[in-house]
Amino acid sequence: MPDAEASWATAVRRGTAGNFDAMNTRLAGTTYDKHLRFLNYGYEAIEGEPVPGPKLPIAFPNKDAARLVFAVVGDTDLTGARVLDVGCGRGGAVGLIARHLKPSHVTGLDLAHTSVAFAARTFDPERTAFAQGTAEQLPFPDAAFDAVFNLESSACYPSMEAFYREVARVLRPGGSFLYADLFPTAVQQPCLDALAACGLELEGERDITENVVGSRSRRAERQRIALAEASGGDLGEWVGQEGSSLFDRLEQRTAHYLALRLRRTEAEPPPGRLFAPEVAAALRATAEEAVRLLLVDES
Amino acid sequence: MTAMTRDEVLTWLRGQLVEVLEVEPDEVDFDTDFAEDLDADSIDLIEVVNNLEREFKIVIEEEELYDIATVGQLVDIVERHQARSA
Repeated sequence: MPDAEASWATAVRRGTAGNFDAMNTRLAGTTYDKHLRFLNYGYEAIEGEPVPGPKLPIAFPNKDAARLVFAVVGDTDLTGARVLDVGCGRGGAVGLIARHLKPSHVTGLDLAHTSVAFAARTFDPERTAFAQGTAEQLPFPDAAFDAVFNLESSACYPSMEAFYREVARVLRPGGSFLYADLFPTAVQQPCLDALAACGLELEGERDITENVVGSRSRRAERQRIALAEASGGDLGEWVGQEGSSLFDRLEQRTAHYLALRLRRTEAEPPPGRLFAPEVAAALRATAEEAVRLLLVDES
Repeated sequence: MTAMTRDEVLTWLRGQLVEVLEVEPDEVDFDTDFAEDLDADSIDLIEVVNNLEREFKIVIEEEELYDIATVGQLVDIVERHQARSA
């Protein structure tokens, strides 16, 4: 990797980790800290659609976020599976999968030390484990997992293609990659092509933009006010309230929220670049922008 | 602190719910369902539980809240903690 690219990637990673560390620090002083385990935009069932996952109790915080996890897993059977969640944040999905979907074990990996520390002290240490690391250099052996889960995280990665190669490496043949994120319309097809090139065969694709917009329309303002009252800072962009740039992008459909289910084939990823230069540039711009948008005022 | 009776805990909780959820006192009893009867959400419950932890000097784990639906079940949790620390 050329030096300039490597130092740019380091800067993006540092920015992302810094934002999440600042967010965790801000939460740490609030009454929501121990309850807040998810940092995703959530999922709302619309027009007679089934609500994904089991019925969740009233006191369960961020039910919409938990439903997004179940929606992304879909009907993939994780019974007895070794599962990896890349970009696990505060560990909500890891805990939820461990509790409800009968895997043998779930590992969460995140860039931010403070998120890993929170998750490690929150979830059952017999069924879950957490580690700090980067998505483009997963600290796990080849074919170590039956399923890799990745939710609303990949757009922040300095190299999407390095991430896809790593997913292909740590998944056993036949294993599942359960993958959801906001994809700017222009990079959507190139990402699907790159996944296919890495031996990650598309088995299911759902555009859940409307479900995510539904969740944000109904919940974001309430979450923003609660967090602002507790922490004294406005976190509108984090909760994706109406008027935030992330919300607008989804509502105007300049980005789509896709939930993908892919299966690891025997095919080995080819050498060389997976993305055309203009696509790689668009992906880099998205990662850079995410760092800027999620900046937390530490004053 | 002397352990409160179930009725005393209910009375305290009723005051909380009237304040947090702006419901009427007679809407709150042991079998009142937080979601169905009071239209509470998890953010409301976090506020109530947080005040309850402070008032009764107990720490309620997230896991204990997993299965509660009614006011009475929250009273059960307080009772369990009081018995433990008595």
